[in-house]
Amino acid sequence: MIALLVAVPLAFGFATVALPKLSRYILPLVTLFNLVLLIGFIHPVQVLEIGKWPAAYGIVLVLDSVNYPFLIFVNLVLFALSISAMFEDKLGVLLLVLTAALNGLLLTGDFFNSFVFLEIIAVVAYVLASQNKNYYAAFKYLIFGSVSGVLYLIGVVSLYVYAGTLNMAYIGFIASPEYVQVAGIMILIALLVELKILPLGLWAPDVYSNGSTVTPVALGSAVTVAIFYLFSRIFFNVLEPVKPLPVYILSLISVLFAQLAAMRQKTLGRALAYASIAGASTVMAALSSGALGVEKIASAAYLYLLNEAISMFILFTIYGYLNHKGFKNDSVAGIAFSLASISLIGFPLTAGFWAKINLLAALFEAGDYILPAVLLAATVIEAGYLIKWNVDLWYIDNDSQDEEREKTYLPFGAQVVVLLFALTLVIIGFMPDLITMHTDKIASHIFDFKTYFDTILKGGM
Amino acid sequence: MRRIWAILISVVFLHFFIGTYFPTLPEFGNIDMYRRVSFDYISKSTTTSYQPVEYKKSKGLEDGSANVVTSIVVNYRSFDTLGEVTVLFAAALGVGILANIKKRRIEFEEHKVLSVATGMIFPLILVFGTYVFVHGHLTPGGGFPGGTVIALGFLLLMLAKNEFKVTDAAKHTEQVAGSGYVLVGLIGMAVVGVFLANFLPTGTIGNLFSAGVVPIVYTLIGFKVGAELSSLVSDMREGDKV
Amino acid sequence: MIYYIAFVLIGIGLYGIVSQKNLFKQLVSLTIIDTAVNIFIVALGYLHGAEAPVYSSVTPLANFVDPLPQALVLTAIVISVGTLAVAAMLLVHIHEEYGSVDAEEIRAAKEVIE
Repeated sequence: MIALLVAVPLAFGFATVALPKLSRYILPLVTLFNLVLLIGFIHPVQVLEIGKWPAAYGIVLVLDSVNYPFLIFVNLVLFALSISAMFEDKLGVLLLVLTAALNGLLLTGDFFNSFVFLEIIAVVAYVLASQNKNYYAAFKYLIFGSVSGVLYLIGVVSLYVYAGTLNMAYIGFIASPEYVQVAGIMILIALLVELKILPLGLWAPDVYSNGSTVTPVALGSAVTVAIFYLFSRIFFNVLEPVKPLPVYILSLISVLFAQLAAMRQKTLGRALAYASIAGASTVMAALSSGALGVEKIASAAYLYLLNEAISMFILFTIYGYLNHKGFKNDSVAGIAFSLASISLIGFPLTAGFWAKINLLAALFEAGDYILPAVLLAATVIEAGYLIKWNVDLWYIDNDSQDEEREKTYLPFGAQVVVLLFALTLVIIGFMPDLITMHTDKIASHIFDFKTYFDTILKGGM
Repeated sequence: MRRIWAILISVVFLHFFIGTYFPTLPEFGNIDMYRRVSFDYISKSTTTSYQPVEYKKSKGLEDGSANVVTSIVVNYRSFDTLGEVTVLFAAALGVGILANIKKRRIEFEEHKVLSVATGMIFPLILVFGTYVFVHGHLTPGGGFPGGTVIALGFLLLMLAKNEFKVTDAAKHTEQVAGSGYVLVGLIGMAVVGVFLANFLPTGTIGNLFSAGVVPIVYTLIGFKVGAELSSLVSDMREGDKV
Repeated sequence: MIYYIAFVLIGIGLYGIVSQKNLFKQLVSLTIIDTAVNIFIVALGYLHGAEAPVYSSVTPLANFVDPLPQALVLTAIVISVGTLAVAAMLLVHIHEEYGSVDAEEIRAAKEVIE
């Protein structure tokens, strides 16, 4: 039954290529079907051997308590995207393919399969990045992304040579640790390019700021979350960890650079893009803060990731529609925008507050003082420019163009989605245990290789 | 300045790979096949015990294709092939989305020799492409090269005649073939219980009608790839199709 | 050895991507990198004195090289073709908008627009 999560969007994607108008209505239905299937009918822990070949010989799809919440969240984001964004007809077919690929990436238990799904996501991302005539940025992204894909492929094939199979659990069991370090470095660099950590993530500001309502949301909220899952699965669960210190230092530098750069941008789109880079770098720094096995830090990092994804969804959608026109006409958009900015900064009574407090507390407990200092400095800078943008947009000065300015509202679907997400942020701010219960469960299972291996062993040979 | 950066990056990269990475690999030509899963792929014994397989003599194996690479691509790791077909689909669709340029159609003069020669060669190219993907389980080749050869035949036709257009028939072929592949997987799910399982009998190795569902899948892939690459090249040429 | 040739080719491709200003030459360097990696992967499966992994009248009994890297390379080739097609289409659009495919001329044209 798990295979339906991937097969149904793919079948509909193939089937609607000759009638693209239909795909716009099928996309919300398909993601809704996925959500219903996940919440109602499929429960962890399940292993599906595709084609009925035993685990080391064929491909396995694994659903356990680590990727179950991620699956629900990614399908929810895609469902919201299908209602709130505005795109041309043919793009709906690509978004169906993206749904199938994201679900497949979250479910897979085989390294080469993850490479194939990463490449599907990459090709769709290149086409999405070129919306609104943003071709040069899409080309730069293509060059960066292809070289990183090639590095990932070399890493995966080396793992096959060391272990003799391509299954994730068996590679973790068979391959010897010092060989795995070398392949791990290559896979790590490839994932860092996709996660926008700064010297490797130079493509991100131009791609995210193209002003479309689909691109930054799909890439920043859905794809980034899925690749953080893949990163956690590979480096915490399956393989022996690569030395975390270089990644930690790189992420810290990336946070500071991104926040400083965001302060100096003249357009809201580029500022938000740099804020998104900073958020992803913070999560990466938290996950690699040299404390392998400290579950509280990982749990707080996942809560931070959730807050980032939802806030960025709201901010980018509103920017895509309104594009520097103010909030005087559209107070719904204004309220949601301000709530999302407050959550991103981390004022009390929003999800961001609990994310940052939990993270700081866990880091102090583990004895790490550098990341909290950087995080506090980054928060101050972020508060600075976000408040400035909020004030600018609420009290926009347009006496000069009163007659010709058409009223730009958000369409009804977008209004509903954006308000609901902003409401969610406030609710999590009042009752954080709703989410911390789940992130604690993820964190407690993800460092446990033995359980993962036993699951695959029992489900297989 | 760029050249210095470029040389620096290349040298660091080569130093890392040749210094740290090469010692971890086995010597060239000296691999230990018994430690790898390929040993069981070759002797087709992933679910049964080891028995040497012989051409045109072994019957009723778990996977019946004589071409071991085909058995991996379409049978053991069929999900990866589904993903690969999706990559090509997404790329062709992306080119179709990007192809809206006004006044773009490339026109050129027809050449008499090319037109006459194409008339003679085009059917042969189609037959050769079809041969490659129908015999994918017996000889090297399969759906992807076969589909490419067919698309090249259409490219030749496009170069020979100025007014040749790839019509919507290509899009419909792509649609039917793509959904057909997922449908084969779902039928496997209904008959055997697991997605993409083989549900037809696998006869004797080396016969044309053997290997279960593999020739069907490769035929579908051949049509899909041919239709996709033809419409991709045609989109690049046509431009604005409002 | 083949491994050295493959990695020197990858190094040449990387040099090309970073140092060339013409975007089309960067694309060609990317193709060189893809081809070199495919050569490397197939070479990882070689066994001295073994034949191609197809049962035929020439090799009725099995004495084959490793077939799995060849299956992986089949997929990798198709993926790189797809990426190449998208990149070529992007280059056509860039030329249409800025009048050239040279990175510095594009940057100059962008300054003028802004």
